[in-house]
Amino acid sequence: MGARRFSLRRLARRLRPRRRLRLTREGRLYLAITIGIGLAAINTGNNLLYLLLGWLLSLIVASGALSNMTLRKLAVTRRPPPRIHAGRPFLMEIALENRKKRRASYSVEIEDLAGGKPVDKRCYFLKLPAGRQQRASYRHTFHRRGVYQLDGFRISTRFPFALFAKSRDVSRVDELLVYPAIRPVALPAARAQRLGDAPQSRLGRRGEFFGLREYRDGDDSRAIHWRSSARGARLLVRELEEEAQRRVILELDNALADPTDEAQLDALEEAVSHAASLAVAYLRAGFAVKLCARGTSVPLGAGAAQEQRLLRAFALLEPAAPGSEMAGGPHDPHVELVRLGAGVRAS
Amino acid sequence: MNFARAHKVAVYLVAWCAYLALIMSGELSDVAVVLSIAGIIASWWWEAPRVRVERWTKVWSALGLGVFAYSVFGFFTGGDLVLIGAELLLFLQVAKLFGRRTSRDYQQVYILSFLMLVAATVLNSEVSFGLFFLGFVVASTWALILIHLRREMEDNFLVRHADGAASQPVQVSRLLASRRIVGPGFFVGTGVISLVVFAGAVLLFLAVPRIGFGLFFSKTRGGVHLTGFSDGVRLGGHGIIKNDDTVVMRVEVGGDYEGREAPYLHWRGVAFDHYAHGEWSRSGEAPDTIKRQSTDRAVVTHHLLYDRASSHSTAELDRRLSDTLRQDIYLEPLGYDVLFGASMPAAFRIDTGYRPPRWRDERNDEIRYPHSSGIKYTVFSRPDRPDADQLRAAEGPLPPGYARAYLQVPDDIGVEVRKLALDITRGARSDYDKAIAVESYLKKNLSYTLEMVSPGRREPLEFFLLERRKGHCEYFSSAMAILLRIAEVPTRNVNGFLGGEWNEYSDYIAVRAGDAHSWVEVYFRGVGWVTFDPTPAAEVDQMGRGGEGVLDRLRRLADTLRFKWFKWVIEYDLERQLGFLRRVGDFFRGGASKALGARWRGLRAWARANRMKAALASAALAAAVLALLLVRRRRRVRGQPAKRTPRRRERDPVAQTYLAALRTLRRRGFPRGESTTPREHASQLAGAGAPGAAQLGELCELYYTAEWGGVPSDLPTRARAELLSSQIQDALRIARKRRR
Repeated sequence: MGARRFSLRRLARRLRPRRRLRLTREGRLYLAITIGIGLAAINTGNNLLYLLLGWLLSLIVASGALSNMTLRKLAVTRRPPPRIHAGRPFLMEIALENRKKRRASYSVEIEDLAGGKPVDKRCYFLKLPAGRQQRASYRHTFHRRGVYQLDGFRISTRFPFALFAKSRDVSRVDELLVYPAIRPVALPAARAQRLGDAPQSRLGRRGEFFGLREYRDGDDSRAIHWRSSARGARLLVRELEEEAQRRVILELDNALADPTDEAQLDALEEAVSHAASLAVAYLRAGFAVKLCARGTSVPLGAGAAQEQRLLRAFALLEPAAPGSEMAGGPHDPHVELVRLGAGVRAS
Repeated sequence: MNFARAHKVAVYLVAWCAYLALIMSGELSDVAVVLSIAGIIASWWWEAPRVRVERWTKVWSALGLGVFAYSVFGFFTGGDLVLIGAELLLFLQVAKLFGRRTSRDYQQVYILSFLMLVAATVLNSEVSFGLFFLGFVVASTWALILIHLRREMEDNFLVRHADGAASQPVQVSRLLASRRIVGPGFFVGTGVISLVVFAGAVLLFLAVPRIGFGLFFSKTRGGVHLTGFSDGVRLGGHGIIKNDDTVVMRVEVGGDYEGREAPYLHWRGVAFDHYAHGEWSRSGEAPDTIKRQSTDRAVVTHHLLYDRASSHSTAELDRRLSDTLRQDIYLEPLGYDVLFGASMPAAFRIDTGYRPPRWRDERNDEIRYPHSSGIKYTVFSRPDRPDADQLRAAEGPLPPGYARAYLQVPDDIGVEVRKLALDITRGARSDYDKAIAVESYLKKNLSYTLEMVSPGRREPLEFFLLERRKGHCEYFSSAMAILLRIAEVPTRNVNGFLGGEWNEYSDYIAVRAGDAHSWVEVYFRGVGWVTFDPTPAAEVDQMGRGGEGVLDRLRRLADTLRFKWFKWVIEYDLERQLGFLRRVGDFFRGGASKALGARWRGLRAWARANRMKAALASAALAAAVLALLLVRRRRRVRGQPAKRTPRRRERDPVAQTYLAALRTLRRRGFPRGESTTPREHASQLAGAGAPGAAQLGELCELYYTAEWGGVPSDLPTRARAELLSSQIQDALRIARKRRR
């Protein structure tokens, strides 16, 4: 049965037209002229008009053969930028390789396909010599964060005479993670400062010894306390006094009463964007940041790797039910807490 | 060649091919042709930045209005619509060429060229159309591709994206100046493709069914202007008759009449019964042409019934054609509707198409069929004169009306002529003997000349026979006809052609306008009409079978081309199409091996007969194969196509200054890596705090503009570049001293 299904699928794939053909505006005009010349030839019996008709028809055949030749043996790859943020334009690089041995390909257009449909921009290659690769890029903006799937490419050409637009689709699936929009934000004043506590002394390289904690990605390897690590069979790092004070927990309430309500969703998006902006601002100011939200959390961490982890979590954050529990466990009372939610800026 | 130049050349080639195909018809006015040639040539240089084209738009609009008004006026005063349209097209083409700027303008030039070619299909049916059509097909492939590419450039390269920066416009001029987009390989490759397209066009031309309804128009073709033949005879003119070698018909004929040494045939056309005041005409008393028509599909056969044998069935008539000489005749449009055939014709077979034939008034055994273009038909004739004894024995009554029509002698023929006729025929016992006597008298006693002298007030025939005793064929034939009529022998005067040039390349007789001739037909009771030619044979053949010189052969070769063109293109019809398809079918059904075998045997026989030529041809073939193998091997060894020596590109002075600065920097330890762009190099040096880095950055931008901006640098820019270069050298020198 399985074998039969497999062969049926293969048959279906074989029967599917490998090329799409669409008449262009010029092509429609050309066909109208051809029909007109044909009628005139039949009516007048003028053999020179028959000759002209033969040429017009022959050119259509040549157009089909040449456009086929152009689309043959082309390989396309895409290279997205390392980070894509919602609402911010980015350049998607498309590399087209002509694997033919002798013939160049002219006038090739590449469109990225998402959900079987082309995205709004396309890359154009005027001439791609045999055996060469060329790159072009298109500018695009995703307006919402999340995961986007690009299914493949549509390679099309109107070469040689612009009478027909011929295209073929090639499959190449890539997932794009779109991070929330990051805006410049001012960091809220620290609680200790707000309470009037004296600032901590800033002795030593980064502050006085405060305690030991587990190693996290992005920690300075020089801060590892090797003796304790050897004893506990896990990496421990020295936590300094200043660093202890420069920790913040972002608590994002992603609960929505009605997840189908556009206004609520927009408000949540706004909150996620603000939280992400804050997280980035804190991390760049040297803070360690922890994220707690309903259904997801990111443990405390600092540095570029933490920024990546947080942005990924923000990108994938889904609206939660109002009753669901906030992940991330109980908060350390010594750590700065910033609460955010749909319609809530900070607390 | 840069892209813009290649594009321009291709579009101009298309325009020239269409233009020449149109004007070679010779139908357009000389003023229009001269002005348009001058316009197209001048327009080549009329373009930006040399001329601000947009400033002239109003001038061209005003001119266009004027030409349009002139065309409308021409139309309402009875001008030919096609000619007026064609001349309007010429103007529009010139105006568009003067106003071309973008790819859209070039596209419009192309469309106008195509329309000119369509007009040429109506006006020019000569071989020249075929030649320029081939040129049009090749140039069209280039032009259409380049027009498409240029349009795509203009649509796609207007904006360049950059990460983290606003999109910037890119100058299309940079791309247009590029030499990398199309090169010789592109032109050769697409040229070969266009030849394939042409072959495809020819195949489709042969295969598209010929229906030829002709609902609104019928096929027309310009006529040949004749100086020899005319549908009437008028004696008494003066001047010199010129020989004209314009071919008026081509005849494929078999049997004894093939080859240069074959006997001449009289190509009978028109015949006259009534003579008065030096002029021959068809009288109302002349008997109608007696014929029986039979129709098979769209082919009508006219059996001429000289014996009035109306009892014969059509099948019997067809059977009687078995001993006749078949001639396939391709007649040029002469401006007359008469059909020619070798004397004496027995039947005419004409493909009338689906339109019912409109028969004309035909007398004196003429066959007329109206045709506005050339026509192909078949004639079956009995060229040999009946036996003399049979003619001598001919007797019986004349058919009704014959005596009145064919024994008519005008009253103004004087006594002397009548006496001469009786003197010549005295002693002749039969009509045949009388005819022979008159014929030999004229041949022996009078001479041939093309110089005509006015007879003044005398009757032209009397003047010829009694006074001048010299004349051309019409005098001889008229004289014989009238002298025999005086002697009671029924005659008629016939006009047509004699002989023709034998074409050895395609085995046909090319009958020229200068072969026009006049002779006599004598009626023999119970036998029919028989041809007599009283003109001295040696002198009448002014044009002959054609010379043997190189030029004569070349002329015949050109005529062969023309004949093939008319046979296979202009006059290609359903009958020929069916024959062609049948032959193709036979070829694929097994005739291929037979045909190829016959070719091979023929080739071997030729090689045996021409050993030297065969050896040379074999050596040339072997050398070509060897060269091809060597080239292929060389490519395989290198793993890529054979490279040509790159031509040194002419660099802008600013680029040269930049490259000089680059060389200095390399010597001082700041080389540019192979994969580093000039801009990256400049920013690397700036980042490293290298001496002269700021100046290099500026020089680098000037270099980009000069080398890739598509516009040559001006003097201030060059001066600035040199200053920057010298500053870089100073900075490097100072840094070196400090290090020391």
